[in-house]
Amino acid sequence: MEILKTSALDIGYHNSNKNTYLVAGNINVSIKNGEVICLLGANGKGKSTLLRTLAGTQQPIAGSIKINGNDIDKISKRELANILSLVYTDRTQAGGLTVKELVELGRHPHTGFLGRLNENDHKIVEKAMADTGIAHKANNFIAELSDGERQKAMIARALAQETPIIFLDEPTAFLDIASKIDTMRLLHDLAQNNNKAILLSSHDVSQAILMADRLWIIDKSGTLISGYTEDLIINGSLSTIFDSEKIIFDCKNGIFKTNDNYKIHTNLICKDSILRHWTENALRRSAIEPNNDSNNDTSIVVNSHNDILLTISGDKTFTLNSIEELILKLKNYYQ
Amino acid sequence: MSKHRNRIIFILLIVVLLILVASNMIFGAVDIPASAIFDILCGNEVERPTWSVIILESRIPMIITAALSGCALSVAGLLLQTVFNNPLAGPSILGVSTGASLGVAIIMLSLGTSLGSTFGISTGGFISILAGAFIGAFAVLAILLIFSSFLKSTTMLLIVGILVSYITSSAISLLNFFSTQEGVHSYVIWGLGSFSGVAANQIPLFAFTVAIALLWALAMTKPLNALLLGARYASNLGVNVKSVRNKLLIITGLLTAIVTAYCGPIGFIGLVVPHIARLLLNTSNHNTLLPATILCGAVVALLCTLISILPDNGILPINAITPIIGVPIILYIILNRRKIHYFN
Repeated sequence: MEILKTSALDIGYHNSNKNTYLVAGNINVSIKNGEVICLLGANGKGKSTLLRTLAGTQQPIAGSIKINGNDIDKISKRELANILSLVYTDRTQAGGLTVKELVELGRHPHTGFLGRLNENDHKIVEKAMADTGIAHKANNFIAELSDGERQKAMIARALAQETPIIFLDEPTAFLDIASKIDTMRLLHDLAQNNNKAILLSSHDVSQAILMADRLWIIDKSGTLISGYTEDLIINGSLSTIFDSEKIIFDCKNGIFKTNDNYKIHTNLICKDSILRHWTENALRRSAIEPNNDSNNDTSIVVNSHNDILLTISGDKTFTLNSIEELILKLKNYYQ
Repeated sequence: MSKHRNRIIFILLIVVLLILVASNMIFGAVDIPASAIFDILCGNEVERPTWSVIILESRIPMIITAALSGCALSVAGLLLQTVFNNPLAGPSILGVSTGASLGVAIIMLSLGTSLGSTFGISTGGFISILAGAFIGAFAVLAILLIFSSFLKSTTMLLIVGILVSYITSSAISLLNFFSTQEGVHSYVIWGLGSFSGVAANQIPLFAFTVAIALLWALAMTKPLNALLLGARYASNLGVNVKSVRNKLLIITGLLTAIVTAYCGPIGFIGLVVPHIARLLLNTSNHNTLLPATILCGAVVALLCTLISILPDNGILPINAITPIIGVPIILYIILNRRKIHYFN
């Protein structure tokens, strides 16, 4: 079910001279329940602006945003707090609150004048902490948490708010790799099991494409491309993120890499796919193209990681004991 | 566990408060036996009628004024610290008290001797002084609010507050220079800070205004907690940040202005007491922090008053005592900020 929909949305700023500065234009996208959407784009291309605009904290330049069919301008702050929750990377002054107290703040839109929590509220808070895996720190102060745990506590707070939509701005920015994977897994599970609509912005493309159902890509010209993750990878849309000829998206490995001008061409023969992958990696880094073309008179036969046969110019043959030796040999020869 | 601990701390605070009230009743320039004080409080006749006058007309009004001023300034400090997301904010350090002083100076020095004769200020005069204090305090708060919208660094905001307070002080000096000698004299006396300047017949008005502002602050507990997460999160929780912030600043202005008008610009209490309360309860949660701040405020102000009346030959100015209590605590907090949770 579509819960949020934009039509002909232009986002950007009005500066003091009433000039408008357009960041991205003509955005027509929608968010569905049970889906994780990852918003990708280079720095300064408007990821945060788009999140702020969709969350109703920044006015769009033109176009409309509808949540459950209602215009976002017509929805009161109070109602919006029941529909949409946000997780920022801002450092807060909440170090003197316990994790539990912080998560309880998520119940704010649901409690009365005094903010007192009833039994049901307490249950929701406990569940939010359990779902995010932070329950064991419930009575610890926020100041005592690691960055990853803080992020989990903030996500638990958003969960306790019980909104169908959750926006997260760079939720994995300051996390180590284990916490990154943990957080992305968590968001994915929330969408699948709790039918939440989750939109997050990220720099980390390889993590994003593993966990996101859908990608929104703000390309170098400020156009938003939306599509199913794998479709966008295959049709080459990811290469439009960066405005540089030197950076291209490697569809096979799901990473960005430099677009090299290979000076040396070789014929790499290797049956083991892992061995082949890492030999290719080393060759490319050294500006050597490892293609499978038997016309090349330089050939590399990798039998195992310590048994490599290198034939240069069709006649000189070397037996090498490691990938390091192989690269050294090639470099020395072609210098 | 922490609920149990909190209860003990609240009970202890109340006990200390009662001891301080009793001590302030007993100690003073004139020795009055405790049994006589008890009789006076029960409405019985005592052997010397002057004792009764001293207790009812001087010591009790002073105790009430000190306790309420302590509560008011401490709550003003706490609200400022939360609103500006800065644990080192306070009505005196941000220049709010100085703003109130300027308002008072303008009223006192321009209307001069008609109000100025010490202790003889009429209710009408007081209302105009109160209005002056409120306008002054609020003007400074408005300046801070404008600066806070584009100064992201809280340290910079503190510096703006200190600068505003310098400008205000220089305006006060200029006013003093051009004013009459009686006006300057009463203004200087007022500026030293004293809890004994509120006459018994003015206590009801003073207590009523402070109580209203304190109740209003207590009613803001829920949005205050949301503001701990910063404006963006608070807004996402459905809090109308602008309106809440304005209300909190009005309460702060009101509390600071009332106390400043009646007792002079009292430093340090507003800055220090919220920290004492936070360290005692080990929380930033306003549900318990706000009541604890109110209690601690009364305790600290009464402690300062007790010290001020200890010399036999007169009363020390309150502003000579508050820094002696306040500065070591602030230094302790600054030196230990990495270990103190609410700083991180």
